[in-house]
Amino acid sequence: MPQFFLNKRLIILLVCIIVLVALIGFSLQERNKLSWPEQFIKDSVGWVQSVFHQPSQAIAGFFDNINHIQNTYEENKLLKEKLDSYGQLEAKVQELEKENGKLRDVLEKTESLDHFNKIQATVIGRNPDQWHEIITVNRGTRHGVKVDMAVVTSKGLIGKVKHANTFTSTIQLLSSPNRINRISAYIQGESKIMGLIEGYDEEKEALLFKINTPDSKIEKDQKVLTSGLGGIFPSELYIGEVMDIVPDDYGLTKTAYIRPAADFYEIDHVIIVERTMIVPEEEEEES
Amino acid sequence: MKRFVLPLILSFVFLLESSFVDLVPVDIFHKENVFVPRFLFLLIAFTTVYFNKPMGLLYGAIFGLLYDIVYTEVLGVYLFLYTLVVYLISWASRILQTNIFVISFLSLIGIFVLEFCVYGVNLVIGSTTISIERFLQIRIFPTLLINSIFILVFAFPFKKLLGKLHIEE
Repeated sequence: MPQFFLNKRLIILLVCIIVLVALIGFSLQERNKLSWPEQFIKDSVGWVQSVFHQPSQAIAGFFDNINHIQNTYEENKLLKEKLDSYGQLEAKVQELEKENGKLRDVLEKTESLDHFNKIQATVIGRNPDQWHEIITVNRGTRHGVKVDMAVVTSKGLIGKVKHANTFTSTIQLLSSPNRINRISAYIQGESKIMGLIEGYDEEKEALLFKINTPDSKIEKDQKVLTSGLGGIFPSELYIGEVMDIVPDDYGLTKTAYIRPAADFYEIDHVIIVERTMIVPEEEEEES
Repeated sequence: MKRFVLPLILSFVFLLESSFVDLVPVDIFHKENVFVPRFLFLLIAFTTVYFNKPMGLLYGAIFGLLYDIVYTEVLGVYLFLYTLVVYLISWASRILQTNIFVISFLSLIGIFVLEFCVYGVNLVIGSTTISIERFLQIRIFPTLLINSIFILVFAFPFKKLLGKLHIEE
């Protein structure tokens, strides 16, 4: 290496590494808002992306359709079976909803944790390096999006809003193994089994659900929903099903593996969910 | 007018990477494998070697920073790595030859180095937990595969285009 480690270059390299570490440190601190140059760039790139994305989505949709036609016969058989029970179920749901409404009237309780407003959004980009599971959608603070709101698809919960800019916002998917990604949830059983979603196991492709009450009985395939406690998530958003239950190292608590209901790979349209019930504001300054 | 051809192509590919990940149907490949498109990086490496070295490095820095801001939201990583690895490639190409096969091979090694460094950074800042064997298995090989396909298809036309632009300058 004749010229490579000349002094001047070495110094430049060192300075660069220092700047790099400083920049990483700056961006890893928990910020509620991005700095304005970042917001500006994200919004302008987002605008171009949303223009660019539509034709490419159309092309991809075409190939997707071809893919779907292959399985049509099998799916059709399955769907017909399900359709028979659907009518009954629908009637029952209507009945129950009516009854629920009446009972609420009696109690004079109109607000509930599971009431929410929906903001429809389209995905305009995804992080190509796939280390940080982040997608960008075309709705921002102008449309009412706020940080930490829940994001769902038709199948179930997929993540929460990480940063909201004026016209776009970024969504952190549940599949990122981030410790900050905590969601209060419960397992639907004979009684509610409360716990916290505490991250994602990349090898098993399952969410980790830490159970608060380790004595409770849990079976496989029980459904997991958000509990609406803490934060601004509404309750009763579907997350997934129990896959496996393991006691932790000390045998004091249990962790359940949850198979997420939503597909984290093919996301086109999302719904950003805003809880209508107002919670008392947390104190902003903690220290 | 000709001056804007290269930045336009690079911006297009920059957006393409995101759409590529978003839209390519996953069922075709094995779902577990992670294909990371590094098309932009390949083009920047080619630009540095065949067109103009300072300009290539500048593109590396600009698009690296854009990548950080728009996609990963962790500043600095790609800004630093794109520039550094592109610099190393151009340095190595001066010692070896500027044959298109050599450069293609060098950029593939560059992608390997890039992925490895990004994995290291992510391991340190705690945004991943996968082990190194698994990283090699589900990330490196698919990534190298898809980028080699890109090289096979686009390396030669892109080199020709760069030559054309070079003559006109």
